[in-house]
Amino acid sequence: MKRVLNIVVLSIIMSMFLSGCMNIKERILDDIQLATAAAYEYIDEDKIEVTAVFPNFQPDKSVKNETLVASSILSKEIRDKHSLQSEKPLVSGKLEVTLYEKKTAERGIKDLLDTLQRDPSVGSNVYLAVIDGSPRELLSKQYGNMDNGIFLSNLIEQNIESGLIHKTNLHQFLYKYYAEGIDPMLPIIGRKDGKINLKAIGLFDNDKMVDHIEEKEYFYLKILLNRKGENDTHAIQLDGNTKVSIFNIRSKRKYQIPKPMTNNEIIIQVKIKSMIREYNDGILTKQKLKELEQAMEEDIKKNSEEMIKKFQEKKIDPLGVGEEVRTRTRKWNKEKWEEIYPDIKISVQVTMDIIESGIIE
Amino acid sequence: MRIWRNKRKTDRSDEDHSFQVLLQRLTESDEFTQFTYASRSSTLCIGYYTSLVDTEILHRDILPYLKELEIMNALPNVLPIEEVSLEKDATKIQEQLLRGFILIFDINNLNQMGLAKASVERTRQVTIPEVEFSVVGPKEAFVEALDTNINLVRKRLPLADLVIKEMQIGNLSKTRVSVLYIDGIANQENVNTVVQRLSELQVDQINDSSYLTQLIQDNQNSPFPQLIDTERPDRIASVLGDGKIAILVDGAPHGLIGPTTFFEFFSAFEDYFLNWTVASFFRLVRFFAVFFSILITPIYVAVLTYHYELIPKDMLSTLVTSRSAIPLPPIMEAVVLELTIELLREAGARLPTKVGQTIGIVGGIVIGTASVEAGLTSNVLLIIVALGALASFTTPVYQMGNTIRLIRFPFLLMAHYIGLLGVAVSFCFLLIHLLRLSSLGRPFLEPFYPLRVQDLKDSLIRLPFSMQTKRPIQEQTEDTMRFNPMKAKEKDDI
Amino acid sequence: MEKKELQVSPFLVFFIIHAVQVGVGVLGFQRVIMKSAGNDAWMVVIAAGMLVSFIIWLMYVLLNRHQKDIVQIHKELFGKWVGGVISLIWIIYWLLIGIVTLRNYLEIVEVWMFPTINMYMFTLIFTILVYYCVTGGFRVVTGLSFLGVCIPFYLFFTFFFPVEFAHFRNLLPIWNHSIKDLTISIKDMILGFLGFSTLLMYYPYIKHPKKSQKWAQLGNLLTVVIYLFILIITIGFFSEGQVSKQIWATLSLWKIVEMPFVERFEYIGITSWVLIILPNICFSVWAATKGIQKIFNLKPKKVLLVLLSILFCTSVAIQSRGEIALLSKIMSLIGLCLVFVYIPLLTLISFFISKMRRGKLEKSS
Repeated sequence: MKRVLNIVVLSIIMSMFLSGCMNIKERILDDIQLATAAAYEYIDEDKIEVTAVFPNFQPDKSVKNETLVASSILSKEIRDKHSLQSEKPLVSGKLEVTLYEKKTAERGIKDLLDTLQRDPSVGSNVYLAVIDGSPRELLSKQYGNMDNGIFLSNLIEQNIESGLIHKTNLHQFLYKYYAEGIDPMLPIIGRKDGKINLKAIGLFDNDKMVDHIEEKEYFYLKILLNRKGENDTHAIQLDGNTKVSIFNIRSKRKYQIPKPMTNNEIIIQVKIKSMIREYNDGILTKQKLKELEQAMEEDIKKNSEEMIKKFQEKKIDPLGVGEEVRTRTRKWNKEKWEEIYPDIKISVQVTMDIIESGIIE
Repeated sequence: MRIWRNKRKTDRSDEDHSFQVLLQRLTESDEFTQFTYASRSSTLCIGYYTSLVDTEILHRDILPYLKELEIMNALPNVLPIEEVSLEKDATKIQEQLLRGFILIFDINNLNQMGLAKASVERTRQVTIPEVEFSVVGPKEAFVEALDTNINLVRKRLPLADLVIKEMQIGNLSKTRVSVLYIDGIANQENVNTVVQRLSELQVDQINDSSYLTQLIQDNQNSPFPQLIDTERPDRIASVLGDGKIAILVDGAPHGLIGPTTFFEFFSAFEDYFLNWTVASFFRLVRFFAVFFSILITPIYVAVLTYHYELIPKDMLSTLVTSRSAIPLPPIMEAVVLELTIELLREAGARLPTKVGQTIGIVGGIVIGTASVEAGLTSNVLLIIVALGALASFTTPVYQMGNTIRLIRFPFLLMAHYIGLLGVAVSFCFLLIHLLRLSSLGRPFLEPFYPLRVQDLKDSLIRLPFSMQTKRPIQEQTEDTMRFNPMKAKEKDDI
Repeated sequence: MEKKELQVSPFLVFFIIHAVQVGVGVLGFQRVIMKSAGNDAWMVVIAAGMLVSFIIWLMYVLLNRHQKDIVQIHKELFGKWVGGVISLIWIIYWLLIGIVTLRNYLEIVEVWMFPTINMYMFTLIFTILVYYCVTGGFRVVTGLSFLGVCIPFYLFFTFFFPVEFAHFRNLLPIWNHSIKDLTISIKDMILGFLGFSTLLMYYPYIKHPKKSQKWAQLGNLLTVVIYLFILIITIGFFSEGQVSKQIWATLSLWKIVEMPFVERFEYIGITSWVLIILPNICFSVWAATKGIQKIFNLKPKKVLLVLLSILFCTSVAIQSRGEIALLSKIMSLIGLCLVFVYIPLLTLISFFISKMRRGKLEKSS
């Protein structure tokens, strides 16, 4: 009897105390403003302007895109300023995309990344992107029945999945930022005819954007970037009027570094198994397939070597050649590598294998 | 009061006098019939409780033969009834009278009292099981008569080793309670535990077997029942073969089974009538339902109150729009809805079946839709709570289903106080509680803890009969093998 | 030896050893050991595991000879007073393990989930849970550690999500670091394995204790495998510079997990971790309680209440990350000394004393 009484008394006391004393701030889903995108822009030496995007869910299931703009010296400070303009407290736990204005990205985004890493409520699946144009303008337009954070996140996600751009998110950016021997890349978003589009890929040296590559070069970058690739597409025009578009079923990339950390040549071998998606020059014979394969190989080799040259001139290494060398050397020396990197001869060897040609002859 | 009455009972030394007292007390009740009947040699007095006696037996098998009676001692030989005896002790006479015996005595000779059994049994017919209904399989359920129930079990186990120990419990109700077990299979230690606990009981009335569950289970404060109650004779017969012990109570249409495990509460007996693959699937579904039912609403409350980060972006708009017009915090919303469901269940249970069904449907649809329309609850939560309630009704043992519904509320409150951590803490508390429980001294979480791989064959899943060669270790049976596995494998034609 | 009803089967030692070893350490051991061992840290895990395995063997040598728990061994070897004092040191150490585990976990909750949480209430809830578990006796504590290993095992599979982003080339080149660097890391890594010394206390509670050694070693092996698995994924998933910034790298791994019905798995991970640390705390508190009870012959419930109030007060009194780190350091230092210096010493002493006594016996006869 006494035991029962004890239990009852204890549970009553517990529940009384718990309700008052746990002292946890409630964040009830409909009483908070979920920021889904944030765009950063330096407006002067150390003042940043942040445009926050949040969805305003309407009772009829439609979503209205809303933005808040404020500026201060630290981004968490800005969040408080945002809250001053908002009916509900702004939280960053559902941040999907962070955007950096192009000039800001060129200046370096190291300081702006700190808050994303330190705040436990920010996930690692956040997409980072560089924005060409005014973030305030770009984000205040509505692009679909969703807010721009979700829209941009879906846009980038969809393009990663269909193989048009490389895998990128906060984690990958930070990985490359902190790693020795590889530099990060971020997609660049711009506006074209009132629509948002992924226009290029920005190349970073540490945290500063130094260059970008255009859409037509994505393919070379992608097959060189990953050890295994698939889903890429590529089209070339042969001499004359022959045009062909291929779909990369599987590609394998291999580095051959006979003597790491020296000026010796580094060979990147790429083996591609592909399928023809479109071809405009009549019947495909074996002979023609051979020709096509050869033309492809040459095209890829030429263009990718040019691209790598460009990287070396800018002293950036988005492909991670340095990482390949690092994992092949004991006592890796970063400074020495950076010194020799621009002068190493890096060549690409391509083996193209067209294994299918669609459902017609 | 009681002491005084006991004293009065034992003080009767003079038999003749005491018999007079007894007669006087009996006649106080108008229901007691008493009349004289002249036999060939003497005048007999006959008395009985009208309601307990079958008058047809009296007129057909007793009165005609009494004419022939010469002396009282010859009574057992004269009457064509099995249970006829001569008694002197007043208390015993009273007891027998209350069991439907007829008192016959010579007015001139009060030394010898004859008693003849003419009791009338008014019980229901054996009907189909309602609580543990099964589509396939036997369709008989226990009734309120102990002898009928034992008969139902015995028919399935024609064994001399099936021992039935009977005892009387309850100062007032004097309920007959039978302990059933198979000698040579059941562990004697378990039998002793049950018999000891039953014989030490101090209680005035036992009106149903559930009284006993509450009185003799190991931890009486736990919301978890530690003895299974069942209305199926086939289930009792089956578990007796496992070495378990069954308790049948007179006047109760449910028998008790022990020692049992937590997982047995989620096995319907129908599982044995279905193919093992199907049965195993259903059992897994039931277990999933239990966890779903306990955890889903607390998780909803926790996530919506504290952990918005967990919600995937595609689900956000559904959740936010469903909640946007609702003034109550998630916990209030959930508690109100859960209580509504409990109210509906309770109302349905208290009302006659047909009205109850209507209440369920009307209440469910009308209240549910109206509260969503009125903006008091979100439709997502309504779905979740309804699913949770539905899941909790899949538990085959009614008592366990009630427990499952009860323990959702502490989970809910903790989820509100400390979010998902509260759910985890409550879950730990539940686990420790289950670990501490035992059923007749045997661990409750067996076969998982202590891990007995052999017993897993009939827990979360049910393996085919040909693999159930050994009796469960849980019962520590004296004869561990059910049948010879070697012979079971020899099948000539397959 | 204890009464038969109180004993547990030898294979449960597998779960006990594993449950006591794996605590909050798993959530953030990577940064510490990769500081000096870098991508060779996986070797450190194996080496530390082997060392611990050796100590477990040594413990069994000691315990098998005496068939008693350590408090009684001390009493037998050093007498009532000296033995009691040494036992008390062990007891303090065990209690310290409980405190450090609890406080570290509370810190994670504070930093990751609820920055403003009321520590008093939350610690109180844990204390009540521990009380409820430990009063259930050894069987319940063991049962909890069994379930505490089995139920959260699903977390293991969530570590396959980061594999998508992992660069396993980071493991190369092997032997990138000197033996000296590795040795420093081994010392740090061993902290992740501590706690198994409670074996000294529950040995008499095992049925056929001599047979249980293989289970103890296997339990240790499972710990090694889990550490190794998480570490290899960490090395692949993070670059070295990144790891050095992650206090709780394992939790950061979970940040990438995305399932159709749930995102941000670290919150679920932290929540599920309750079930992993609870047996850990319960075991250390149980061992401490049993020890004190054996030394002073007190009622276990009262001892438990006193120990839990110490646990509660200390956990609440420690405030900042610095203080927690200091306490962990003290605990690990005591642990290292006791486990790696004292136990071999004790085994030797026990060996010689028993030899001497036998010698005396032979002489006298």
